[in-house]
Amino acid sequence: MTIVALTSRSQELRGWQQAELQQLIGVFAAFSATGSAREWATGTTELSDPQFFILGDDPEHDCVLAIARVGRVYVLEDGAGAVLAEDTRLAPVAEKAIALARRPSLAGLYARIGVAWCVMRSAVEEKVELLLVEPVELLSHVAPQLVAIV
Amino acid sequence: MQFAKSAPEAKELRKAAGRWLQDQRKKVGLSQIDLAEALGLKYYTFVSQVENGFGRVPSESMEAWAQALELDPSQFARHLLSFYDPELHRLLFKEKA
Repeated sequence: MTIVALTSRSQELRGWQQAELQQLIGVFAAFSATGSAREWATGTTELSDPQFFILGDDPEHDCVLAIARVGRVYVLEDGAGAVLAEDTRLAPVAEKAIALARRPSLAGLYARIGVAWCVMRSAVEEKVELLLVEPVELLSHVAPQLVAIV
Repeated sequence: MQFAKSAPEAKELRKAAGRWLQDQRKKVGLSQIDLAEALGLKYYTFVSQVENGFGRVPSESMEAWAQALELDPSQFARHLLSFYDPELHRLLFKEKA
């Protein structure tokens, strides 16, 4: 296993630049809009690589997502350290993060399945009811005639 | 009796856990990169995330962290639990004492 090498640091930017920070705050806004993030924070690694953390709701404020610039590579990780995206440009990494924010939650998915199930059940019940009503109506028309014949 | 952790308390405890982990790492002379390598991580940023108090050591990798830091995994997990879930730690380990 090889850790991604950190090459010549002399030409690298230290800390987040204003433009980068604006993009990162845009990512936070996408999470905040869905209610899955409460605040953001910045930090640095031992080697002064900048990190941006999106933190979840009360009470734990756990890290939901982290974006770091390691050398010249932007890395998107979840709160458990899984690498979700990496690129030498911030934009694709930020886009991936925003897409994750807009991904429907499991609870939302269950809610949609529930609604779809209710709609389908109601439609089926209506059809079945019609099928049952028609023979009854027919019988009510025919029955008096049958009685007359008998 | 209040069982729920308040937000500032949870944050503070996680930061304290991060500081403790950093101390343990330094004691065995590892850099964040060395530790990430020992844990099989591609980037070392997660180590920094945990040490800065923004993340936690996942349960499934606690043993690997303990081994890399030359600590007994059981003691390591127990100590981290005292930061991450003090109430559960108290119930499991303190009440009997």
